[in-house]
Amino acid sequence: MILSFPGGVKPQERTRLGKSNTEIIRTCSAICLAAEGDAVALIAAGTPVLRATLLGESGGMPVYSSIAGDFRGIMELEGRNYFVVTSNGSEGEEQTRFPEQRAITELTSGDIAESARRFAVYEPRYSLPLFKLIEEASGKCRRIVIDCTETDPLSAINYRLCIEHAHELVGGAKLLLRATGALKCVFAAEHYRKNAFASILKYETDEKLFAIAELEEKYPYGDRAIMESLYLKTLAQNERPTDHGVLVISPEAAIALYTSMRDGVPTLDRYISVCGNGVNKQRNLRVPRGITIHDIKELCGGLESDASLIENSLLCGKRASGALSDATRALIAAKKENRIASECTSCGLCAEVCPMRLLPLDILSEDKLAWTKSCISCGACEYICPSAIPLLRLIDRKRGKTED
Amino acid sequence: MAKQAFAPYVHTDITNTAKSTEWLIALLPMLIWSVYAFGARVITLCAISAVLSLALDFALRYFLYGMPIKTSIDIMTAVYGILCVFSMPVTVPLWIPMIASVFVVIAKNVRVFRGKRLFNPYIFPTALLYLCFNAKMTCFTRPFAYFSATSFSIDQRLIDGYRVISPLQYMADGSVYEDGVLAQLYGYASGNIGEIAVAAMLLSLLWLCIRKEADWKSSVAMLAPLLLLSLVFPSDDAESNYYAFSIILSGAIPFISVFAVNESNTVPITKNGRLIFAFACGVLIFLTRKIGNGFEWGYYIVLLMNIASPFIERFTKPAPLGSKKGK
Repeated sequence: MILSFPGGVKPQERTRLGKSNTEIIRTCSAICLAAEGDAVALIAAGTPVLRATLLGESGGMPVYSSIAGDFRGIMELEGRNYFVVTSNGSEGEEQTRFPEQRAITELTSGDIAESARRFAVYEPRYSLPLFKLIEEASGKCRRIVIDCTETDPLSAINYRLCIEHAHELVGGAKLLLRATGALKCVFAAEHYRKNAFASILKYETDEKLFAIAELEEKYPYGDRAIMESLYLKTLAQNERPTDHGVLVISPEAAIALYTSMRDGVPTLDRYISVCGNGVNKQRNLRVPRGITIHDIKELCGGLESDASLIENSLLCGKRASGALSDATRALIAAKKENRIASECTSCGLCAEVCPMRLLPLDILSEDKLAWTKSCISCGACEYICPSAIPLLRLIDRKRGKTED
Repeated sequence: MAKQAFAPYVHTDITNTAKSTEWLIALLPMLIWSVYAFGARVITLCAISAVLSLALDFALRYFLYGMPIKTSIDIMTAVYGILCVFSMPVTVPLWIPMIASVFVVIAKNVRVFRGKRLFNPYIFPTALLYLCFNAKMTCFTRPFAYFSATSFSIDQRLIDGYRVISPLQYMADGSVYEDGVLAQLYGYASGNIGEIAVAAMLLSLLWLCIRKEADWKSSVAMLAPLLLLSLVFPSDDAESNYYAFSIILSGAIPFISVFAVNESNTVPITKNGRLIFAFACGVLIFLTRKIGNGFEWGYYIVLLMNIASPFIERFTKPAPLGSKKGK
């Protein structure tokens, strides 16, 4: 059965990256790892570091260098603080190894959360540390959903993770089940990803513990859409799936949790798809965390002249700049489209695709705009608008957001 | 830094021009049948109305509103122009479509409430012309009596030679059209250029539904109450089902139920609102026919409902997901 949710847009194009393997990149010119307000560096600037050398602490989590090179200290770049390491060209082996020796049944929820913290496992979906999510969900969650849907139809990284790291994915899911006390884990992906389902089921056939969910090929898939499709539950504003006893996790976090605990190496790499028509070579990459966007552009043979890299989704993503953020799961190169807006014909398509059941065209006429608070800025309305009205921008402006 | 672009960075290929083209294609079967039934004069009338509407609309948008050339040309105006001609008899002098195209452009560009058009752009001109030139607009001739395609106005004596009474006029007199329901369905009955071609109109509806430009549910929502009410309250001297079918096949009813209830800019935007709109049209048309004996009032009822549609829209507006009101 193919599950779906109200609203959403069907993509016109599918990814061409489904068959290309994830390529491992170990070096880059520099990395910038985000530093929170309370970040402290534990080693002096100028110290040579290896992969996995502890650099400092930020937001209650240790920060490890993801390349070998020289630590430059905490620097401010474009208004944000970063731990900066410049490369010295060598690949350099990982420094520390403390693999988990205990069996999964010996571990408590606290142990797993502590490991997730110690190994700096991040959840790109919420750009939160995984240990915080585990602590929040522990004892409260009955279900875990591993959301293997892509953020954009052109990306294929979650699919590749399911194919290449099915074993680790299932292992990570088991750890999460143990950590949260959930009863069942659901793998959700677009229905045409038959190979992904098959490769997961190869490792785990226990139907009591694992299930697969085939979702309609539709965007955007967020928490709301997942809850609506799988559990027919509507999230109220500011509600998270954990409030309904469901923990939604990206496959990347589950794999990172399992591999760090198995190998005793902190999470140093990120998995991303670099795709889209504006890039010369589309690739699935495993790159050091905090790699600069400039390096990614070079890895992909440069962009076409008027293209730029967009984070996560062409529908609602921002232009990527500086360093790869922890929330980015795909980079899509898109060319600028020149569209001239004409007047609204009230065709009603925007209302049809709105996953929040709003009437986006009201933005053009109505004064009472309390509903704009419900807008999740998914961009579906503007995508579908035949009159090319910049609905998303208008809604953002009315909400008093300053554009940058 | 270059000028910042905003999400979304991708858009559908479905533009307004593409949508208008779907409508133009949808008009083809009706146009072909009308030319077959009424001759080449139909083409002249349609061409005058379409080209003039397009030109006037372009002038208005380009010179008065200062829009760029690309968006000033709106093919939908030509569709409205042709649809407007479809509810005229073939005998009208050529200045009638000229006047009609002016009204089309006015109705198309008058936006009052919430940016919506006040009146349906192809029903509004017809309704006005019925008021102003009733004699010219209700002068029906026998199908397959071809008139000159180029003469500016047709000699009244020539018209009188072929003049017949349309099914609708029969019913206004209290009797039922004799040539039968099937003649009305296939389009052999007399009447307005496009409105007689009911079978072709169904093809148009099919095309529009396939291309997701129209919703058959709206059409059914309008015809169903009309049909049921006519079955329950039949005319005194006619067989009830015969009467009911000839009601929904005559005059502007098929035309309204296919095109007017699917003109997105003058009907409510919500799906339920559209059904309510169509349903109300059906009921009101029946009531006026039964009580007021107004057999050409279909157009006015559509205009009335057009005014009401923003209010229907307000009542049928769904609550946002996750809000207190919505579930």
